[in-house]
Amino acid sequence: MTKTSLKLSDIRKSFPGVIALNGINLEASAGEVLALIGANGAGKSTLMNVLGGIVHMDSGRIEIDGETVELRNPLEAKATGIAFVHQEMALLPTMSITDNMYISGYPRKANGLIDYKAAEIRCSAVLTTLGCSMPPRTKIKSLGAGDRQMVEIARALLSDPKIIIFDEPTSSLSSAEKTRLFAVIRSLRERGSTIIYITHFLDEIFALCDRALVLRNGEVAGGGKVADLDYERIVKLMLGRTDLDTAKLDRERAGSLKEVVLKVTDLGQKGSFEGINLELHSGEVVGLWGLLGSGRSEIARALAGLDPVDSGKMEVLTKGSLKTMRSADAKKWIGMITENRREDGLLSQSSIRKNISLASLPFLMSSFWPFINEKKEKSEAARLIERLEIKNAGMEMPVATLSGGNQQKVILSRWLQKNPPVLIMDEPTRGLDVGAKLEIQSRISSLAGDGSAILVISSEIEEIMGISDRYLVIYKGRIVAELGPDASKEELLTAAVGAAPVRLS
Amino acid sequence: MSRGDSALGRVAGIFREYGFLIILLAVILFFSVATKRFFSISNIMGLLHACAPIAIVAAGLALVVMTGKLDISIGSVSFFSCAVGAILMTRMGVSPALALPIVVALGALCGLLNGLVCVYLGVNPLITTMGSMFIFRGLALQLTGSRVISIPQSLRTFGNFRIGPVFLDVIIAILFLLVVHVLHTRSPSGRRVMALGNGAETAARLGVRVKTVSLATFMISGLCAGIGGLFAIFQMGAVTLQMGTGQEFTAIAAIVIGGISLFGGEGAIFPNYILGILTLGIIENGLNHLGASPYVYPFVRGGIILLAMYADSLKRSAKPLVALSRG
Repeated sequence: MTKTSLKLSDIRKSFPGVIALNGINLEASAGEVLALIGANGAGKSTLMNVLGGIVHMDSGRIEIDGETVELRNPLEAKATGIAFVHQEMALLPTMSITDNMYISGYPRKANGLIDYKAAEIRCSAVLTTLGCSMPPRTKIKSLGAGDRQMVEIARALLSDPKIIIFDEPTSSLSSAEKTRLFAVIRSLRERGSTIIYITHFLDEIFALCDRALVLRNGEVAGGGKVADLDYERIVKLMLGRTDLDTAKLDRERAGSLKEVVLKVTDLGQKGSFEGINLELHSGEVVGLWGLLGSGRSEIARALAGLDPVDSGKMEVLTKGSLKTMRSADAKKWIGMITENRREDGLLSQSSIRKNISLASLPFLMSSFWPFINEKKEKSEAARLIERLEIKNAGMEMPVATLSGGNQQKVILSRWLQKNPPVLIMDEPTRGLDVGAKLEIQSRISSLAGDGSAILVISSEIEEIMGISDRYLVIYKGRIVAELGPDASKEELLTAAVGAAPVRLS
Repeated sequence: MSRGDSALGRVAGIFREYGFLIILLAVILFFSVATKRFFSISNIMGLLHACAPIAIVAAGLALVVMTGKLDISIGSVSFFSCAVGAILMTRMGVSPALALPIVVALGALCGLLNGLVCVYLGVNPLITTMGSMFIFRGLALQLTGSRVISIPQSLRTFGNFRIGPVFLDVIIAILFLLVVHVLHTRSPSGRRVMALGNGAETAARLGVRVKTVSLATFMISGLCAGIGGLFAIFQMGAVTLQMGTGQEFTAIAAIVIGGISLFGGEGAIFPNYILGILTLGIIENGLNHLGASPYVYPFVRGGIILLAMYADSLKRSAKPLVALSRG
């Protein structure tokens, strides 16, 4: 039987206000692929960052091949034989594969210059073991996502690691590229490496992994041999039994559907999503639910006219009837709010009043002079501040003095003035505390109550369940299920990992 | 979106790739036909001679640009360091053997100061070097008392010394650029300059000491400005008050024309940078032979810069550099 090559005992780590890891035990053997699963915030990344030397644990013990090791920084982790393939690739697009693999330490000739010959030979050798045939001089920018991922892995393999951590490596890969990656991981396993594989996609676990370990709230929720597990069991472990019921926020909206304000037919964008059909009705909140990498954000961006689409038709309600709209014009009809408040154009040093009025300056113009009517501007700002309950110390204070939640409300207020028929919100409450989250959520509800159609994306299932009237589930760039308001958490989760029997309501 | 699969797209693709060379050849052809003397050995040698100082001055800037930053103080740095050198030699009787290294060291020191302000105080490089551009020029004018300072005769003869038909400083400039090129493409530090140009954050994650590398490029930029300045005063025989004025923009133009992206991470000394320098030299020289009004030069140069910038942004939009698409 294989021996245990990696053993983590009672790993604890807390960040201010949060216990990220609460006594984790993990064992992995040589020649084994261990899946590490958990919802967002379960502690997967923290645990792996401890192993990668990026985060320091508060207490606990790490043993490799029976010897206790200390990992104070990434270099030490590397020297110990741990390699990390990050989800976000760190590649230099204008440089060659060799440069990308060796940039932190080139082999040198006697005269101090880089020994490219030696580097390229080693580089080719590693690429060959990965089944890649691209010449080492190829520039990264001319490679596809799959080959880039291979370069990233090749870099990890340069130092002949014993333990390799893959952090969601497939999120940017096509299915053919994924098949190749799996073959590579299997061959690494055959050569006796210990592999820890982090993923959101449950089907990958069944296709690739030997054992699974499920984390929840910084603790080990369970696990075992993959052969003994099934989707439902894993989802249950991820969620925990206790918090299966969620209370919906109160909404006093008519149950009957109003008119369609946005109709999308067969929308597609190469490499991101295809065949998207959806209808949004006035006064409803629709949850666009899917995992990171499912294509949900791409769909939202395309709907809002921020990215071009390759096919399909978008119709929007104009003057009582649906009219076809060019995707470039979408900005006129569809508002978009993202998690990234700075990108949304919040001028943090400018006053709250100015930030609120920025979106609708033409309406605030004095009727005679070509200047802003300050009185109008102030009263409008005051109205919105009251309406959205933006907590502030005066509307002339810089936006930077507001809390995150209130900053997000300032962004909301801009769209309120424009009153677009459709609002898309991509992770509208990310980075906010619980109280602020609830507030924004109740604002979203009341906006819908006023007649806007709202499409919400969130990584947090509680949030999306708390505010949505119905759900569109995205998996690998397609809408795989449309679920009604009575959908359960399990249904949503299983649909999002592509496993559920598709139930169209 | 689909791109380049139509015939028009293919032509556009070829033009994007080789457009600059096509234009350069067309320009050379035009001047050769339109003027009698343009395409002659003596004119070509003279052209190269005229290009040599700026080719050295801007080589360091090219490295700064490859990291995605800018240094517009190079003209003033070369004026300032050469003015000090000239004063040391003519007014204080310091021997050239000592004064010349001082000029070079002074250039490097100026660059180091620029780098410290940019990298450690976090001031925008354009603003930093604009400030130091005024400061160094002001210092130099103060030191020279706004007078032209000539340099010893021995150095003047060096500036226009020929080996056969080729000027000595052209040979030295080529060797100098060769060294910079080899260091840039073949040394770990040179590669880290490129890595930095691909994005500081990525570079840092790959273990590149971002601040040190950036500081070094500014220092090299100042060093090159000092050396190139010396070549200029050897040719002219004196430090004039206009020395280096507007040189930063000629340099940036040459760099951009040569295809070194202002966004960083693209380009090399051979052939890009050298072609850029030559293009500007050829156009100026050709216009001269055409008997064009001197007021046309800035106009033409400005037009070329805009075209080159446009080509740069076209290339940029054609091949997005960041491919970390997620979500």
